[in-house]
Formats: sequence, C-alpha cells, structure tokens
Amino acid sequence: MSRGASLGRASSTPAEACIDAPGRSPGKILVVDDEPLVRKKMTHHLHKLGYHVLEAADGAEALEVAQRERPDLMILDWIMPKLDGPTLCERLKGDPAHRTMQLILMTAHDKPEQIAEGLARGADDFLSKAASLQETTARVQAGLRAHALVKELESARDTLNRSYQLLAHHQEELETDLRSAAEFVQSLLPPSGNWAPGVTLSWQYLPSKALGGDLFNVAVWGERDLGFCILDASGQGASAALRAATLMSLLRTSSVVRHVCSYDPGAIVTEMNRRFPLSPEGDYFTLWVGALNLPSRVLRFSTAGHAGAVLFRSGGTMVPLARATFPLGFQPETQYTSQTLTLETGDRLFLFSDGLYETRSPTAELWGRERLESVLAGSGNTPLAEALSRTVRAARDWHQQEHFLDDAALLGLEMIDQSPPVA
Amino acid sequence: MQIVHTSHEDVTTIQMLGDFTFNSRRDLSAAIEKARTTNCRTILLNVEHVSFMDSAALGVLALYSNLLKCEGRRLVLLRPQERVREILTIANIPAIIPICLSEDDLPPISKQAPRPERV
Repeated sequence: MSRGASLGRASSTPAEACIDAPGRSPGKILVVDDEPLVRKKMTHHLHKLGYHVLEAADGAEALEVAQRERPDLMILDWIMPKLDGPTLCERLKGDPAHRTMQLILMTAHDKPEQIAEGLARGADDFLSKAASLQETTARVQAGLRAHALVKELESARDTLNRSYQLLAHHQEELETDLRSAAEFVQSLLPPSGNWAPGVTLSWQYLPSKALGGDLFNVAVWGERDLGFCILDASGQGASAALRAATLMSLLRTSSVVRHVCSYDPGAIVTEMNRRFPLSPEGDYFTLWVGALNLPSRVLRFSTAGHAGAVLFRSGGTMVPLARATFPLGFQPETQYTSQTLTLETGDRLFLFSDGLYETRSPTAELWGRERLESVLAGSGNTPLAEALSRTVRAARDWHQQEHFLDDAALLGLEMIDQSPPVA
Repeated sequence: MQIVHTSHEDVTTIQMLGDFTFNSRRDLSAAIEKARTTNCRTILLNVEHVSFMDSAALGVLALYSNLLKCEGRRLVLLRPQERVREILTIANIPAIIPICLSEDDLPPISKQAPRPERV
C-alpha cells in the first residue's frame, strides 16, 4: 500500500495532501484508493479543476480523514484493504456527522447486482475505473451539487427547528399568561351558595383556551336588593378579557353608586352604553342586569343585546328574559328601560353566554339554544348545582373537546323557602 | 367564508358564503372598504348562504352601518336565514340595517341626494 504524497506541496501522509486552488471556492473531495497511480491520477485531475483534494490509501485511513476534514464528496474504491468501499459507505452513512457527504464508488465492473449492493449500502453514485475525464468531472460536479442541496435542506431544516422551538417557547409563555389571566378572571366571579335569605346561587364558568370576555357578578345592592349581571365582550383573547374586566369593575356596587346613582337596571345599562362605545374594530358588549328586591321578590331587569337569560317557573314554564335591544355602544343615545316580574319559590333564573350554546359538534353542528333550554327544563327536579353541571356536561358531550372555542358561562339563581324574610 | 363582490348602477352587492364569525370579519371589512372606493349609495350584503353569525360579526355590521350612514350610503341585508335573523333580531340590528327578501324590495333612495364621495 502506498502512502502517496500531496500534489503541489509536501505533506506527512497522503491523507493530509491538500491542494489549494486560489481564487476559487472548491468543494472538498477525498480520494480513497490503495493503488497510488490511480489515486494520483484522480487527485491530479481534480486539482486541475480547482477542487480542494485530500487523499487516503485505505478505508480505515479514509474514516480518520473524514472525521477530521469533513469532505463534501468522497470517491472511493470498491476493493481496499482493512475496510472495503461498501463497508466504508455503510459506516459513513450511519454517522449523522457525514449525512450530507456524497459517496461515489469506483468499480472495475458495472454489473447491475454490484450497483444494487453499493446503493443499498450507502453509495450515492458510481464511477467506472475506465470512465473518461469528462465523465468523472460530470459525476463529481453532480455529486457536489447534490451535497450543496442537501446542506441547504439541512440548514433550512435547522432554521425551521430553531423557529419551531422558539414558537413552542412563545406558545408556552402565552398559554401560561392566558392561564394566569383566566385565573384572574375567575377570581372576579362571585362565590356560590346562599346569597340572601330565599336565594341560592350556583355557576359554571369554562374559559376557552384563548380566553374570552365573559363575566358575571352578584352583589348586595343597598339594604334590600340583590343585584346580578352577566356581560359578554365580543371577540376573543386577552383584549376581550381586559375589556370585560374593565366593564365589570364599573358594575361593582361602589361604582354603580358613584357613577349611576341608582340601582335601576335600565339606568345602569344606559350609563354603561354611554361609557362603552363601539370600538373602531367593532368590539362591543352585551349586558344583562337584574335587581331582585328581596322582601317583595320583584325582579327588575334590563338587557343590552344579551340573549342568554331565561326564567323557569316552578311549574316548568319557560319565560325568556331577553328582548330585542342594542348591545352596548351600537347607538350611544339609547335609553334602556327596566322590565319587572315577580319571582316565586322554586323559580329558577338562568343567565348564560353565547359560548355555551354556540358550541359545535365535531361535524360543526351547533348545539343551539333549544338544546340548552331543553336540558335546563329537564333538570328542574335536580338541585341547582347539579342542573348546571348536567347542562355543561351536555354541551361538552356535544363538543367532544376539552376547551370550548369561546368562554362559556352559566349562572343559576333559585328562589327557595324564605326564612326569615328580610326586613 | 367566501365573498363575491359585484356592482350594478347604484348598488354594490357583497355575496357571503359560509359562517360569518370573528375569524372572517376582516374579509367582510375588506369587501366593504372596496365598495367604499365607489360612489354607490347602497351596499347590499347577500347573506342568503350564511348559516351562522357570531357576536363579533354583529359588531362589524353595526360599525359599518354607522360609518356608511355618515357618508350618505346605506347597508342593507338580503335574505338572512332563520337562525341568522334571530341573532340579528336580538341585537336589534333590523332597527339600524334594513333587511330585504329580494333586490326588488330595496327601500327607495332619494335620487336628489348627492352621491357619496369615493373614499
């Protein structure tokens, strides 16, 4: 076995023979052949073409040089001592560090079965030992083009991977923020239970993954009224949630007293309509406000485009508590009025957001108000909290996914035996 | 949602297909903005093939209803389906945007009124 010298300058081993071609951007090619004459002839030819050429005299040495120099292309003989060409191909293709290197196997014969074996073991191309210089040149150029393309693809893949990791990181941050925001929104919700003698309250709140703008509240207004409201900010995301929290802060007892000077639902909705005009993007609120006078059980309510309000009488009759009204901001001069009705023991009032009944099945069919009202009607004999759970479960069963696309809120108030009556 | 845009004399018709929701409101806004570049008096939204509108969509309708009114134009809805009509009604949309069952039912518009300027 010869350990050939470099062409152009002296080197300690043939493998380190390096031919520089100033002014060009050569590919780096490793020529592996145990026959010095064949190797030198190939090296000389490639050098004349301007490539950066390295040599190795057998497969084992080629592995060492490849590890150190990372050539772009290797031309290797089939039969060599220590490590033959196909085995060297296998080793190199099995190493991710050499995945882009193009391997051209030199053969004395071009038998189909030999070519098939070479390809199966990792060779990218073949070159007959009898090939002309033109053919050799063309195959080397094709191999280097393939190498450049594979490198480009790998680089694009790496860029994509980095972008994906960055996106995944941002997504995780965003989801953490949204979870925190959802927890904050939930902290604004009232506690369940008996709010006043004769009134019990329960609710279900399911924030969407993207966070929405549903909120509701219950508060004691003055000495005799229980106030409650539900609002829905159009749109989704943190913007809707922030807008909803802003409006809800104005519906707190102290704000109502300061800004409206009245607990009349119509006056409250009218004032909120004045304060929250339609945004330049068309964002707005629907709002439903009720005030229950505890001694008389007279409910006054007013609505601004909020469809989700129904009363189930103890006998099962359903009374819609919504009517055609502008949502907040649609018409700044609108004067909203209050309606009244008297509640009786066993009556149940439900307030809900459209995210609950606008949920869709996997085939995109809407659940719809009719189904929602049907479940509520069918739950009249079950405890209030269970009736709400059952309703949400029915919506989830319809949707068949963990998160709804929009926030879903459901608030229930039930008139229970009054003892003792509020003075 | 798909949108087809046609103009005839004084009326620009925007035909909408599919659900009209938060995700598609920009498409409708773009279509209406395009109509505002003409001096048509009526922008007719054909919602015959819209099976669902969400709250965000209603906001776009209200926004453009007010804006077009200021420009001397009007927005008209054509042939809403029953479910869509319910959604429109609860938000009192028919009080600000006329609803027609056919192009022939368009409420008359005064020909003496100056034509709106192109935006």
